[in-house]
Amino acid sequence: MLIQQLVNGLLLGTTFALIALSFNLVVGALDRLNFALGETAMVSAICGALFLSQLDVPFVLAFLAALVVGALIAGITFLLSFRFVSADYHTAPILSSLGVGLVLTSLVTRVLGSDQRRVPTVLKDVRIEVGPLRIVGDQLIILVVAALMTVLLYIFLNRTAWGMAIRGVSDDSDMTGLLGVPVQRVILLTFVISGTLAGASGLLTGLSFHTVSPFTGFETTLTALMVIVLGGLGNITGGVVAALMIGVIETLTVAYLSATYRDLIVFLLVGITLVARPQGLFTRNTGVVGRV
Amino acid sequence: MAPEQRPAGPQATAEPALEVRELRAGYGRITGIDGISLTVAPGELVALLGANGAGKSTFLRAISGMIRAWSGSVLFHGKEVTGQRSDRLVRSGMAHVPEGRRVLPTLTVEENLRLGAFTRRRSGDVDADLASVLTRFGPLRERRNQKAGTLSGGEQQMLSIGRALMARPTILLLDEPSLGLSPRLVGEVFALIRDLASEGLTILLVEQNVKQGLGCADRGYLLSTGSVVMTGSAQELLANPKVIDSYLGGRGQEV
Repeated sequence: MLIQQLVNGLLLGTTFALIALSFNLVVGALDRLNFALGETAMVSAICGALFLSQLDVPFVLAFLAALVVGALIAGITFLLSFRFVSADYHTAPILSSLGVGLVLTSLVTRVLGSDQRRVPTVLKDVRIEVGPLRIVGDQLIILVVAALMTVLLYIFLNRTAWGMAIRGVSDDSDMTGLLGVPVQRVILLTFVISGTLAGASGLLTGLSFHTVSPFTGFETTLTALMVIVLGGLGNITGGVVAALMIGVIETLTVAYLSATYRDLIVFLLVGITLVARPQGLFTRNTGVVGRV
Repeated sequence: MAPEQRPAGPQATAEPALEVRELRAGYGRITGIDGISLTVAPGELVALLGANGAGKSTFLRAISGMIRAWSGSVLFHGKEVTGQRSDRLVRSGMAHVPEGRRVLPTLTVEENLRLGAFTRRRSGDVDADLASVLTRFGPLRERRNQKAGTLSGGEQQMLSIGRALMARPTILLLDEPSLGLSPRLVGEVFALIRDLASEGLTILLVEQNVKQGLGCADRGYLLSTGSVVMTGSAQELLANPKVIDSYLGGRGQEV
């Protein structure tokens, strides 16, 4: 059932793509990684799951709640770990955002317990069958929502004044400031959007496995790092392609080899990339390695 | 305020567009400018001249909020703006084209220009300004959808000046616009600066090329190691033997 596995892999890849976009936006804005984004995705997913199971709201509302939670946490992370941390210490935002991630995980486990939360099936009766290929309703939701968010992000970045400002800050923040763009507000906006994407990725991943655990935060960060290294740090399109690739590779490994080899193969792949093409598979910019 | 000796002229009584008093700034512990005072009257083209490292760029950076001034003050149309953020200054009419052009390389020419009008993005006439800048800078029109990083040096310089104009500034701070350009392009850039000045734009021009700089300016300030060493009208300075000796390669010699 190779075709089914390929499709499953691509679907897994779309959730990776969202979290990779989330990381890459911040890399673009500040040349820094926000290491709390994995936990941000986790907290958003848990909140979404609670909305669904406790309040029994429609999925759309729970999803919006996850986006808002992600945006809020990322905005706060910016203020705590980046905005007022001296730019002279390059490692300070790394350690500080890692710390925010730890705090988020323990906050969730203290307040809500360390149980896994169930994400119930949303579209029970929808399924598409083409020959041997089967796509269930929730997979469709993941695909459509992830694609929609990616397209919306592209439109925002390319067609709006604030989107252009984000790309300008990513190119040269001082110069963009001289054009009259309030740079710090643009960076805050970038973090908020990145948090929204992390929240979406969190709840969609939860929907695909029908469960959310409070301990997956850092794992998500690691996966995102693998993806953005493979796609080229800060390269938004490269990140999306690399995410789909890793989704397929992980799925095929689990299906045809063994689940225990899953991370090993991805890490090997990334290791080889780092040696052979440190700028990433899809980037021509060779100066990008020294940026983080 | 102590009475100040200004060259007599039509603008002598008007409130200066830009007035800088005893500005000091630098990087770390290294002093870049050590108490520079300067005025630019509305509509005037003032050249700030001096060798590499004299503090010219530092001066502009301290005015436009790129770096923090240590002491002194900057008045823009009579209003104290010392230490204000760049984006606020742009909003009140000051545009700074920094050294080295600094186009945003991954944005297209048109996007660079539109971002120049960020502060005016809700006013309806951005499209009209875009059209007029593209008319003024013909070569940019053909490349409007090209990434700015792929432009030649001269085109990038045109783009960075055009982009600054998109904010509809009342004063333009130009840092070494001729740097790294071929002699032909240098001529074009200075012709453009003269045009802008004749249209009534106030310009503070920083130049290493004393002859070219004074050639188009109304007045000039000569800077050396962070201080003003000489000031006067462009004609006075060009005729001054000291200026000729130290900046124009000696008497009777062509540069």
